[in-house]
Amino acid sequence: MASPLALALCLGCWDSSEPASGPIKIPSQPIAGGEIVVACASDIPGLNEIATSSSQTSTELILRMFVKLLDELPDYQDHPPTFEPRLATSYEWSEDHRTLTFHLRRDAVWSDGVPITAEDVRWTWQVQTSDQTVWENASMKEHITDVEVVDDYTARYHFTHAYPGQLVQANEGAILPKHAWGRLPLEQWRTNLPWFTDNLVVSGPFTLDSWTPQEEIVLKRNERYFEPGIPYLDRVIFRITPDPTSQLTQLRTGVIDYIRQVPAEAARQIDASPKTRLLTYWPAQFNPIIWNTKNPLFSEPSTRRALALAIDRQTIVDTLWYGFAKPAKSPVISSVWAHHKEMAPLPYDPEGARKLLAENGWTDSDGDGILDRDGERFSFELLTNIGNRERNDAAVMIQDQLKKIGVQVSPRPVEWNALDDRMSSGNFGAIIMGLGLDTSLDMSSFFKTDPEGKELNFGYYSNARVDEIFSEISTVLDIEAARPLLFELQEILQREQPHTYLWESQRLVGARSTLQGATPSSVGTYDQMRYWWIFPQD
Amino acid sequence: MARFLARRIASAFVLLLIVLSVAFFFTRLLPGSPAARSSMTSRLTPEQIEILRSSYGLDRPAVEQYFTWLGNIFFRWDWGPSFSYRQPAAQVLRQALPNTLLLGLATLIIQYALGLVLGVLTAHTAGGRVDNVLRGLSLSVFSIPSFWLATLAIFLFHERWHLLPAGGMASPGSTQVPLGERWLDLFHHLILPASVLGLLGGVMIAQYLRNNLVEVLDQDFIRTARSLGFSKKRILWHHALRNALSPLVQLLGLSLPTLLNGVLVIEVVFGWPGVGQVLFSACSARDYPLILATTAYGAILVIVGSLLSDLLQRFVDPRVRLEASP
Repeated sequence: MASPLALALCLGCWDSSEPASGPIKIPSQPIAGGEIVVACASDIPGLNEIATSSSQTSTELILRMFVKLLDELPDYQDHPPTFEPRLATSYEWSEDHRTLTFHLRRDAVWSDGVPITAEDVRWTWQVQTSDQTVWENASMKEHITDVEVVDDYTARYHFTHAYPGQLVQANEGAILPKHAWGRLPLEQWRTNLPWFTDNLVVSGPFTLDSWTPQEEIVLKRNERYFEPGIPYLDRVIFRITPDPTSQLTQLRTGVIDYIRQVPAEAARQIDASPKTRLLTYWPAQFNPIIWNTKNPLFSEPSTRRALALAIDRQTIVDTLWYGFAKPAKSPVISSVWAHHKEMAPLPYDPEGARKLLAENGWTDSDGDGILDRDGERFSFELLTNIGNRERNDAAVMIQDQLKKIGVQVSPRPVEWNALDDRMSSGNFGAIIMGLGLDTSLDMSSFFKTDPEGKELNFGYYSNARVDEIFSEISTVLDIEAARPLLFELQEILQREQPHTYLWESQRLVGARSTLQGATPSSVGTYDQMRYWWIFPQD
Repeated sequence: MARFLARRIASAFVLLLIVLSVAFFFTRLLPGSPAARSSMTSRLTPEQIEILRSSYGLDRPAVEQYFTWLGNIFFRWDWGPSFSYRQPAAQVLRQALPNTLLLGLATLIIQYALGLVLGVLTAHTAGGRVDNVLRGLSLSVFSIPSFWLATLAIFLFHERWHLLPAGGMASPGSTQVPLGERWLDLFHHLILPASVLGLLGGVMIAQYLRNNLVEVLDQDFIRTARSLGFSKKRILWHHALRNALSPLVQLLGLSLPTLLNGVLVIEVVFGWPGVGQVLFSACSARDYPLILATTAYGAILVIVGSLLSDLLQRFVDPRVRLEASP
């Protein structure tokens, strides 16, 4: 809904609302109490993550009220991420790595005072894997055969076999209250979502205070949360503000304290103001052009490589991202431990691109400026999703860049569902897309041979060695030991270009300067909210 | 009158049936499916997608789905469960509809009040400088898209002058304040969105009223009134305006769909918790029952509004014979 025109107005008149003031004095210790207002682009359907389709917002909000066994830490720069205790104080593996035992805190209780026990852990796994709840992450539990209650505070996960990612998969999903939510028959879970709100019992630092649909969700401190003195904040108001320009305006005027997405063009101003702060992190997301290898235009790796050589990624990044992005070369972004730093990026080399295309038989036989081969012109649609300014603008720049080597590109923004439909059915030539890669670094769904197109290999890429690499990785228990395989994979992907990676961009989060302790990361933009605090401004 | 009402209700029923039927089949033609929503973000397995499709009834032929859905509406007023909110679609709408109606009503009041004042003023000074300036300004305002005018209003009244809130229906976290303060707060939040929409509608009504008034002022009975020595003001307000208002009442019925569309857009910009936001998220999620329920409620609103405007016209202008209406 936000138009560039509206944003331009918002930015152009920035100074008028910011009286000159000196730097704000930040207290040295966290202050307990107070409330903050956080902008949300949309309302959430409900408070039970298993009974509803999740969105990033709903998952993150629910995780303020329900805790997992462990918390993943965003410390993946030099090694795979580590986990810190949350509901579980510790865990241990069996010798054959097929059972994983969690020891739970003994002081953790639900908000109604009932202790949180291993029975809750087992029941949560049962509802997560039930056909009646149809939880969308149920596939992450497919190799878990049972969750055994050893005693009240010990739960043991049994796996079909040992594999990397066992811990991540066991830990997926917050633990739910069996004594409270077990009263609703499973067959009613998907039709009676408000029931869970009416019968809410939480384990996390916050609980629900009030919920006005489409307007705001107010969380308040859970007095029975197990960390003493935590959370610092008394209340957090999630304010539904669909329009990004309005979010930005209200951040600047102090109505809103935290917004999770600042447009790149506004970021410097947010950073420069003494009243606001810009918080940044590198999200686990890569932004490729996906080439449909079933399309004869893109079936040859050397042709795809030629197109990649003709795209000037540095210029695209400099033009569109205001310094908050860098050219990409791999699906493993450069801030992740497994990124292949030694692998040189493909240069911008239009001359080399022309040569490669000529070697493949692409010439301008009729002199119209467009390459052709066997009567077929090198012309295709480059799809993007409507509403993503950077991708839409990048498509136009790529159109211009590829025109210089005689390739005709028609940029076409498409509505999200329609785009998804075309991607899933293979009805496209090329698409600019953003794809997420979690810290397990399992890229098999993107690149493993998948003729039926059931996974995320939208471009139908197939390479025998790549398939072998995935098979080899699946037998390595410690993913860090698979580093050479991950490097080899990145080299093949660079050589064959099933995707052409455009940029790695920072996630830009805006906060009022009075809000402290916020550490957005790829784990979540509301991560560690229990340690956030706010101080009154003079 | 009774015959007229019976005929109008019957035709409204048929019209609603057509709207519902067209909407039903059009939503099914949209790319994407609620069961397989976003292959890029969802980890649903093919087996889970089948379970969902079956539970939503999407695995049955479209015609069968259509008749089941229609039967549930007409016999039980059941619009089905919302796929995304996982509760009855009608319940989701019931929470949002009063907010939309409130915004719509406030907008109507503003646009008719503004239209009346501006229309009379420009007619009174027809051909003069005031008329020309006001008409020029009206045209300029009318050509501005509503979302852009809304952004401008937020910038001026919220960011620059700190007079009015930028969005929402209440101040953040105000559910615990006394009722009286909450009403005041609501009024405060209502001013900006209602004024933006009211301004856009008001200039259109003003133009319409001006033209009617100028025409009426040229008629014989006005000349007679002038010759009888009535003052210019009395002629304008007592004789001309009453005659010129009648088409405006008809305009009320016609402008309801435009008003509803405007409200839906403005709701998103101002974060107003109404049907617009619900429809926006329902469309993104391909939540068929909620899309259809929203469409139907909108259609019912327009049909009832149009019927009321016809009845109102009968009272404003007794010359109108309702029985003669098609």
